[in-house]
Amino acid sequence: MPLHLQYSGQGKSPDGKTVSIPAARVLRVKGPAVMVSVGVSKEWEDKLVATGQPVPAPITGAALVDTGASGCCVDESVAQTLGVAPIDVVNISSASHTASPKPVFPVRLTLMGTNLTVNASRAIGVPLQPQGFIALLGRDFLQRFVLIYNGPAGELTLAS
Amino acid sequence: MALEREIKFFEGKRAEWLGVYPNKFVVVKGDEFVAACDSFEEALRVGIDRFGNQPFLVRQVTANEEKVTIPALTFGLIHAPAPAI
Repeated sequence: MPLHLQYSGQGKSPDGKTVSIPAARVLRVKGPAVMVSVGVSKEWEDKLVATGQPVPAPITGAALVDTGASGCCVDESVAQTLGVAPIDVVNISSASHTASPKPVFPVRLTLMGTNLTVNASRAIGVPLQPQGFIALLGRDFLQRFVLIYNGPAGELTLAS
Repeated sequence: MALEREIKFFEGKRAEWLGVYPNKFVVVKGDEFVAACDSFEEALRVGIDRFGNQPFLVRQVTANEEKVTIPALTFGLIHAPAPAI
């Protein structure tokens, strides 16, 4: 089942009345955000189940579809909450640092309201929650989907 | 930095492993080579079975690492104040 969203929002007019904001404007300003759940990898879940340990509940929040990103990112506090151990480290440049090492976590991403689940085997742990996101969906995620960004209609579709 | 020792060990072995494990996914813990697997998923399962929730390195044996680019982070866009609608 594909994910199809039409964005919506409300604002205040100069006279204080609540008004609807056009979907196209919401999509342009807020970006193509979708709701996801971030859980432990299938491999880690299988191990926990086999050894009778509880599987951490997936964490739900907003993720930004980012066609400019080669790979997925996950908020580092989400990975910590899930208790996922890093399996690699990559150097990521940032505006304030030339390059800094960031941990890589194997996690599983599910698009809420669909059956679309992907093992994001190398999600980079970075701080995202200050912007209200728990994940960035990069091209390693998007390579599995057809993405339609309908700017004039303020709509986004992700289909497998 | 997490996995510093494992990454140093991997880099020291990369040339040798390119000859014997090209494109395989290796599992490294400390200075120990654990396994060379055909898939990432298999390597992850081997590491989890052996080390549980402890950090271990899983990397594909290639001549060069695939470059990771996240422009939203590089240029600080993801941390810029959100504009008002």
